[in-house]
Amino acid sequence: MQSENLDFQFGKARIPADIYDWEKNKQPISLCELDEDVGSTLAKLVRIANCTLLRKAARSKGYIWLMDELGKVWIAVEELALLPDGRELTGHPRRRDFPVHPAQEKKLGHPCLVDGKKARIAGELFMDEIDGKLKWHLNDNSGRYCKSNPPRRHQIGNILNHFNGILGCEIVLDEF
Amino acid sequence: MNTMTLDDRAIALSYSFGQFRPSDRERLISELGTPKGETLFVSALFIYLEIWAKSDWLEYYTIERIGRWIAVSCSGSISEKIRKTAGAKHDPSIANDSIYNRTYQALIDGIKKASTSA
Repeated sequence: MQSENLDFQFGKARIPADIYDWEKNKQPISLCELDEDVGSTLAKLVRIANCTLLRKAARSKGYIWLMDELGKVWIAVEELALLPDGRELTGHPRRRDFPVHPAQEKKLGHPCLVDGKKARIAGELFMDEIDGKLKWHLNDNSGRYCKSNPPRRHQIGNILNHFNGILGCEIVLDEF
Repeated sequence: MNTMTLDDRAIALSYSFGQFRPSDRERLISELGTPKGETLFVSALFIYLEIWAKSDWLEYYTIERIGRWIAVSCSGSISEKIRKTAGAKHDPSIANDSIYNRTYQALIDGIKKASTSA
């Protein structure tokens, strides 16, 4: 796709506003390009997770995603970088329902998906319950890529359609 | 019978600000409709903020986002009460760009931004 089209559809590529010390030269071990295989796995996951055994555990994890300058979408489990005492962690998912304050969880954020390079739009993907049923939710919540230049409404719609097309299942837009 | 004290309930509720998914936000809003709900909501919010304020790093955007949501989802009187409480936390004896002062400023900025764009 032409760069000008990508600029209009998803936003101009921009460098992250900041990179934390613990993120430098690090990337999540779960990092993948969002292709049809990964999309199909995510679609299966939400179906499988809608049961007593898995519901709580599935809801407790989150995923971060972004679209790079070339229009490729990258996704990873939100992984912790450091323990509260400063020891390094590798590949350990952040657990949202675990009663730890976010300030105690130094994690690998969006810039780590592209080694601190430019991205067009970024956000989170997670499961949350609606009427007792888990559904995928997507937002554009990235302080480093989307705060100073927030995506326009049609750009958020386009990335939601992109995810819908790849996962082939319902994804709810979380507008906050 | 719920044997938790109001303080215990506020601590438990403060995790909803940390997670802040749609179901967490629903929980926070529904709490506002209960007896002592407003006190609990405000206490939970400031427990959540206090830990950020004492931290060695800050996700400014995350707190600003909570401010925007409060301005849009809560009554004007609650938003204003929260804005004033956050303003009163400002410590002039330390730098404006300290994590402590920026934590509360992030919330105020979020409330202001949503109020301006409404």
